[in-house]
Amino acid sequence: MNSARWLLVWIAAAVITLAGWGAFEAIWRGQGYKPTVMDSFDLWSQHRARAVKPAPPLRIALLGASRIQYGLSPAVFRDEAHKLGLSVDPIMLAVNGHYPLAALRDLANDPKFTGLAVIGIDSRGMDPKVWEMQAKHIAHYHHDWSPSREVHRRLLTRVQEYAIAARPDFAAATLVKRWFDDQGPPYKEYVTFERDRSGGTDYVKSDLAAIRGARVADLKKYYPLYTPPTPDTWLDGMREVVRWVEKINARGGKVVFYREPVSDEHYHLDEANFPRASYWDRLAAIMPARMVDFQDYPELNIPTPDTSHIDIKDIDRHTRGFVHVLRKQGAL
Amino acid sequence: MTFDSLTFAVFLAMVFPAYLLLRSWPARKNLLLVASCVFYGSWNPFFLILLAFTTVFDWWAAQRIHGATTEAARRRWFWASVLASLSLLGYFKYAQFFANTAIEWLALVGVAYKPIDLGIVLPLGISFYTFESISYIVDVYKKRITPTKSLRDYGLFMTFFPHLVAGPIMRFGDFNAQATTPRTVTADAVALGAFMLVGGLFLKIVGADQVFAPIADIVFAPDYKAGFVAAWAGAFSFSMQVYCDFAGYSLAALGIAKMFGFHLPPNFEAPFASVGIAELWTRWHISLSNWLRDYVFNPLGHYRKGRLRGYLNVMITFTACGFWHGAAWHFVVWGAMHGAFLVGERLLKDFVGEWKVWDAKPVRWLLALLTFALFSWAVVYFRAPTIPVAWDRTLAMFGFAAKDAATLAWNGDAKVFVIALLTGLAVQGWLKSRKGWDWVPQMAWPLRVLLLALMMLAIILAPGKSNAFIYFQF
Repeated sequence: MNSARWLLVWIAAAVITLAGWGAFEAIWRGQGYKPTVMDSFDLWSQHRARAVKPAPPLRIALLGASRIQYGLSPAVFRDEAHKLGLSVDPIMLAVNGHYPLAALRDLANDPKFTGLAVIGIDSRGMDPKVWEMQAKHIAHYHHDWSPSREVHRRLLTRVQEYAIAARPDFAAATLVKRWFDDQGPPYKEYVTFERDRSGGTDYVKSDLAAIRGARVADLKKYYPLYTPPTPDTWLDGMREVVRWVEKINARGGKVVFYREPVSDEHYHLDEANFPRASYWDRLAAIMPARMVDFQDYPELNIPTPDTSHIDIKDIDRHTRGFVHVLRKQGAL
Repeated sequence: MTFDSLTFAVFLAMVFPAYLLLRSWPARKNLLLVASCVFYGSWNPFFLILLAFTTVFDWWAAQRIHGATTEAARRRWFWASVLASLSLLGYFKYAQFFANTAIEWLALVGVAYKPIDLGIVLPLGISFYTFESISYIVDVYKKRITPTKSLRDYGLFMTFFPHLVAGPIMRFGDFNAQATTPRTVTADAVALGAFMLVGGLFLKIVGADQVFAPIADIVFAPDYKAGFVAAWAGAFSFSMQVYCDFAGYSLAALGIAKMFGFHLPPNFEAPFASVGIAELWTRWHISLSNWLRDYVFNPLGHYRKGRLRGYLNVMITFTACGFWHGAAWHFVVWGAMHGAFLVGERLLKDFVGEWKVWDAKPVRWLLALLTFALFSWAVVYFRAPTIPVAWDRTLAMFGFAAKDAATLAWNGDAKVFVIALLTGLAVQGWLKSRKGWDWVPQMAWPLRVLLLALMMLAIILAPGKSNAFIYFQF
């Protein structure tokens, strides 16, 4: 009798829970919100683990920050390389807002990495002051990543692809707090994010003028507060990076530094603080790696609506163009 | 894998039906042993090797103690086992701390050494299973129990996955009585166990991570300058966070064990409804306080050797308790504060005596709130990353905040925290007279449905930063 009551309790509770969850999803979807994969240290580590799997296919670690993450598609990369008769596995390890040199050092120090490292970066991102921005990701991979975390993350990714309820900005507690603070519903993102850790900026869904204005204003505020190292000091610091690249080369791997497209005020501010001739070109002379500057390749000179990132509709063109540049450079 | 991970959901969904399908009790125990090893090894297989070593060595040493023909031999094996367990704990948990402390002390006398990183990774649950293995050896040595000849049963006692990583700290005698008698899995027990599992996850995922952690994270950030209100809010918030985190873990552990037909000792019973710190320690981390009483406080002499010696024993026991929690001075201070509170309470009772006024309900409520406040003051030293940060928050709590100290914004975070704090304390008051979880099946079934559905829905709608269980670091 008691057991039957318990069964009833569990069934009724499950039905109410599922109905409540379903209603939650329907309400938010009705307002135009969608589920999305959320980035995390675990997701980064899951992909980092792929970078040291044995070839073939050739493992290609795509390092960088948002411009690589929202500018190259691993799936399109694989497809274009396949058309060229190449078997490759592009792995997105870029982290939005975090310069990547710590990740390059980590790959250089990992004897299992024998693939191609593509580093999306500009001269500012090579200043030793910002080398450690991805250090927490690397520490997580080496110290906390485990088989149980991998299973959890793979399942969580599936849930996130289908459930708005899996988005932290839609957590019940967060929504209640927003309601108390009179903040209205969560912000509608114009940035997409996929399970392969690539994403895209869909400027059709955004107030482009506001985003562009804010980005330029931030950069205008940033540069006067930041004193760039002199070219000689900067180049001296890069000698350590040269040693990392040599380590990868010695194992049969390759390294490509890629300065991704930027435009207008962003380009001019970068050039004013880190003139190409004084920094990038001098580095190219000593770095045992391919150095690709978007300005030198028409197929890479793609518009950046907010001055710093290409639009989602251009990712395909950009990725395919980049594959051909790598091929021409002998990196593929 | 942690109880709040999807990996654990898959693990349980595989192990539990397999357990039910097996008919023979030895086969079921074999399954639980293998499953527990998988559970633990999924963090780091090296940890499993260490656990296996401790388990086999202590099992073997217990046989030697039992079989020894002379008292000297018994004592030799006893100390060999205890020292082996303590050495492993000392190396993995305290070596870095002692190295750092030595460097700091040498610096005080002008000898400069560079800080060294020993690169030691703390094996999960080592503090818990070390205490379990020591209790086994002590009980065998004291002839309270007979050692088991079954390595499988002893291995299961040490590794049984619901309690392996963060307790409750079990005694072999209690576990072995269950391991040697086939467990019956009843539908009622499974239903109640699953209910407790959901309740535990609710406390952890919703209470600890979503409601209380945000305020504590703000107030205990090293650079934050806390004012009076902010410091108390941070202290109350962390008290509730650590309760929801650890009591949630323990409740889930009890529930999972119940599903498999096992009974684990309760670890939390409405501690924040306690009147006095002495009562609180009979309701907070009960399995640890019982262990400390039986294996530290009583062997030290309890109060039998006089009042002063008794107070000293209390201080030693609780300072050790703090050190057991973490290899850092702020944990030692936390433990010592609890020792001091207990001594103070004992002094009041010894010298002031029992006052009738203390039994009046409003006075008891006030005393319960005072107890919660004292606990929260001490917990500042548990949560703060360093003693200077804890001292700064203490000054703020007693009205000596910096002039430019921050006032906690009265925003959504704060409002949710206050509502949850008041609700949490009221629920603790309601739970105080209820022992265990037998009250759950006695609830009207529509209420059970509502409570269960609300908890499950709240868990589903609580994604976000998943904090590690606080006690996993110990």
